Amino acid sequence: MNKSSKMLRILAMLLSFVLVVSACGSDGDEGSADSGSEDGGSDDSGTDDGGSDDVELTQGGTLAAVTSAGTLQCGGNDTLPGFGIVDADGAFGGFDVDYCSVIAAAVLGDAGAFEITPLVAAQRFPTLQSGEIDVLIRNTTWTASRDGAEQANFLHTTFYDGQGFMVQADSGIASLEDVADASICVLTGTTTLLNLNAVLGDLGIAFTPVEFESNDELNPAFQAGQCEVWTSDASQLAAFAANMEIDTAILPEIISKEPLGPVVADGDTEWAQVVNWAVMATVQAWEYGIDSSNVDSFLTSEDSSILRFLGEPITDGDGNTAVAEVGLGLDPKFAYNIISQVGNYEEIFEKNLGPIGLTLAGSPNDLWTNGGLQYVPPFR
Amino acid sequence: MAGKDAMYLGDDITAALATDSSPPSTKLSPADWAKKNLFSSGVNSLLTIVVGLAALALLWFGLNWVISADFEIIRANLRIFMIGQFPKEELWRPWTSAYVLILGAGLTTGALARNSHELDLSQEIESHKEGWGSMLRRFWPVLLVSIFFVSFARTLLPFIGLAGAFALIVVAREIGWRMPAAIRERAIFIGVALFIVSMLVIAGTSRLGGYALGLVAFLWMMSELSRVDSLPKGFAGTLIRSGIALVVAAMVAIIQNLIPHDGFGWENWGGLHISLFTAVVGISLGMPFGILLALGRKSDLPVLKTASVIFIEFVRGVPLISLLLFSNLMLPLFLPIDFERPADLTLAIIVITGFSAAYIAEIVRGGLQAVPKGQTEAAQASGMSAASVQRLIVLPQALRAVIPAMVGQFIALFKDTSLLSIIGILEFLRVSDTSNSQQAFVGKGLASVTYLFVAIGYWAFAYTMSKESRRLEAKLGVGHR
Repeated sequence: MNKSSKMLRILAMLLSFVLVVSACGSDGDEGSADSGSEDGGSDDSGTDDGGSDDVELTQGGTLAAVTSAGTLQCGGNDTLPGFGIVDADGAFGGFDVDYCSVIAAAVLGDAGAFEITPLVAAQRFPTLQSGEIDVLIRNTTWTASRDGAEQANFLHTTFYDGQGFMVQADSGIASLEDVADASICVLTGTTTLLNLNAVLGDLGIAFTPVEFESNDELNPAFQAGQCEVWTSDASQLAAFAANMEIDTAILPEIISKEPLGPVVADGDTEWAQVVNWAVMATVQAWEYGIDSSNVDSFLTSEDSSILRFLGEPITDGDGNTAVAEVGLGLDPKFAYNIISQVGNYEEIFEKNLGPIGLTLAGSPNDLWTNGGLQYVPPFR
Repeated sequence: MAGKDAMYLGDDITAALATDSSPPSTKLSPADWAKKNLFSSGVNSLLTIVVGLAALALLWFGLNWVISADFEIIRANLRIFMIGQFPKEELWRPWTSAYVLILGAGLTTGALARNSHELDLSQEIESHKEGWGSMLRRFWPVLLVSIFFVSFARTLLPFIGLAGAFALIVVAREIGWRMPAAIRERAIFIGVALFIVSMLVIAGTSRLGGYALGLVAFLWMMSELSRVDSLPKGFAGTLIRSGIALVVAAMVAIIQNLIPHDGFGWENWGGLHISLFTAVVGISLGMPFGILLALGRKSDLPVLKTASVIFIEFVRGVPLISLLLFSNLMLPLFLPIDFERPADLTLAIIVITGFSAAYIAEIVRGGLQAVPKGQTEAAQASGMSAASVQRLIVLPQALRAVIPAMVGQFIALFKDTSLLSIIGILEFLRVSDTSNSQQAFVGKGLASVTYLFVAIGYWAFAYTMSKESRRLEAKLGVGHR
């Protein structure tokens, strides 16, 4: 009797709890539906400006939000040599960080008006979707599933990376065929390992993978000769090789495509275009031969396409002099701001990736006129 | 007395007692000791030699490694290890903050030690003022490690700063000891208020700072007003007291907000500072919540009981990492669109507080169950109210019984702060990774150096907590009465 009444009490309590929860749930649903119809109504009557502002904000409006905040929020890395690090002064630096700076210079006119949120790999896309960051520049490879399922929008590739192989200089391994029966050091649980198995499997090359959790453990093992080959992204191999006491060589074969570039969330085309053109301006400046030291001398250029690029007034066929407006929502002088405050692609590359042992000339990251892949649409 | 005892004892025993009461000496000469403990048999001798050689080899390699290791990475990144990316030109803030903190800690511990001393004397228990030698024995890990940390500094300033800090704690403790009784009784409030002020030195005055100071002011005023006899008793009195305390708290909060003092908020904090800060806040907020949850779980009120059980079991059933990620990535999706997103660390501290509260609740519940029911019944029979029974009879015994488990939880929480790195906070351990990615140090295999440095830092604080817990146990006689 006593026991059953206690059971009843608990049951009643659970029921009321469920009721309260479901009531809250339906409240929320009604709330959002209501606000939707109210916004529609306010658009019709045209009396409630606040409502229509809200609608615009949910549809996009990242550009307006960044402008009013005065700071660009970037997702980045703090442990990738050359691309995203915290230097001994405590400041963020690196190739990816400089591209965040490029976007800040274009949107806000101030290359320093950005904040970096360091992210671990698994956190990248959820953080982008939550709106905590405006743009993700964190050595993220552009793939179909990320563009699709992760609701990310990949923009101009800033760095063409690929999976490469490093060996000790005196190992006698000169190409991928020589790798047969060798032991290969690789990070466990990465796409690098999957690529390795797939490509060498297809080629019929037998090998022994030696797996490590982090590069900090892999690096001494490689130097001690625990494995003949180290495979990773070519840029990272170069970064580690630069500080090694042993001589190393990188094999000519690159077995994967890893295009890295800035990423924004799906659903805001205006913002995607702004970021894209800001990033591409660094390549265009390089093509024109404009860098941070000589940009001012180009302000009086004879070439109207350069004047248009830098946001200087140009004279059209009818003799009217005006600043060209491309309608991106950016300051017409955005390219000038980028180049004068940060620099062109070549400068950014040499400053950050030169010291870790990467060369620009002859690499896929070279300008298209030199046989590389860096090619951007015209700025007109 | 002695004569009376003798009547009850046999003459032979009395005689034995009179001659020598001390047990035979167990002190062995070093050679005898070694023979007894190390070379008692052939197998043991062999084991001793093998293990001894292995230990020597380990020591040799360890020393070799320490001597040959390149500690430049620590020197270059010392500031990042300590305070993360805090602006270099604002270093006076952490230093001033540390001094205010040390002042508060010295005053409070000095005053509390004196209070306890006076209480012992009033109960005719033998008590002495604790000497500095004893203090050194208690806190040597932290002292030694702070000297070790500063030894990597490249300028003289940190050495001077550390010497000043040591001097300040001596002086502040002495002042705390000598303060008049009326001030000493309020030492806890002084300590907590100075802790908050020390944080405001870095972070600047803010609404959050106002809330924190207001809360301290409220509790302080309530404690002051409870001593005023002219106020009416009962519910009306509580109402009046709360009213006055609220007004004072609001005034303190408003005054704090009116003081113009800019600072560097949580998004600029990092390094060991943020690890210690999160641990201290998580522990000191988690403890009261945990005790309330434990009482809630033992309560007869079904709603309170169910809510406590749901909270405790949910939080204990989910890894801290997923709670942190949830607060960081998912929570903003549920917030209203024009709601300003709380700082990452604010969310993290809420999560860590709730997490430690759930674990502390279960530890405290264990302690509550260890208190015999007779204690409660006796207290009720003597006419104490339900709240007084818990506060004065049950909780003191329950908490005393669970000190080791509780401190274990504190140490675990302190080490768990290293998980903050996964939500992008540059805490102590993460600096090891970032410094190894710098161009000057990448690929040099220096992770072992930085990890060792970080491990020593964690060890010093965790071991000091552990030592203090054993001291507290001894003082409260856990296991002896």
